[in-house]
Amino acid sequence: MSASLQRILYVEDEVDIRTVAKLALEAVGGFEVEVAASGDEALLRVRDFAPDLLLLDVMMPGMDGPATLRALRAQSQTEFVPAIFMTARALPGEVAALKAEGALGVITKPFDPLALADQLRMFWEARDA
Amino acid sequence: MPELPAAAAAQLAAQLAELGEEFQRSLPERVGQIEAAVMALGASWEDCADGEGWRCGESWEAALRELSAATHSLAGAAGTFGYPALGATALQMEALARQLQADPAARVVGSASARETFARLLATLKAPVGTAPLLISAAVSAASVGGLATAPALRPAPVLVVGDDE
Repeated sequence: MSASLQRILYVEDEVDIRTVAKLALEAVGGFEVEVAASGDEALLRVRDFAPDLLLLDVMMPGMDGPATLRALRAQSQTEFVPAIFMTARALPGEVAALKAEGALGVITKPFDPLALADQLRMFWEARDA
Repeated sequence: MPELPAAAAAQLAAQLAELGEEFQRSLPERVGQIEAAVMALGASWEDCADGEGWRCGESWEAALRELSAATHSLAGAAGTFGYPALGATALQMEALARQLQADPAARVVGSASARETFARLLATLKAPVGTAPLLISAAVSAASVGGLATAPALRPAPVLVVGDDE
């Protein structure tokens, strides 16, 4: 696990959400962001892109967020890469279930594009606490 | 959040504003898709109520799939682009659609109340929305006074409390 957060793999099926979040994470957070529109695409992306962090939408057609995380965990390149989920449903039970999948945290939609980078950093810095 | 140089902040604000405008332009089509799915669901419900079970099941499920997908998409995007009430309505529709998908008995039982709920929520979606998404316009004005990080209105999570699309 690298000490500083620089490279993020972001998996989200909605193109407009993906565009806004990538833009904000790059401009506000200064991160290097690689995007994937599906879990399958994420598995291809990690062949050439070694992320520090996985940012995963929960509800996607095909492989959903938790299934994508399990598939990425089964690959040596991303076996130990921390993950954060994004979801529109933030019921207490669901957040706990997502954290039980091994996520650092859960970000609820709608998100504030300008605050997203800070939210990620907060979870990142708390990961060893 | 590191403070952005004014030029970078202005550029980001302009890009966000452009994306917000694109989203706004996509609204009629998005709501139209939801309306079509609600109509298709209603039609298949009538088939089911008429005892046409052999053909209602497939169209019922297809309509619900379409409705779930279209409302999910709108629910996820609307709040971020400054339309929180629209997003909340879409989320309610999505929750109801998924609840029905998980309960095949709902095909005939209790369909009247679900239909009324969908009709009411659809009418809310179709009500005219305001033209100035506050999140985006706040970003633009913050950038114009020199730095996003200095704008208190932008933090924290203003999308949850602002909006004129009630």
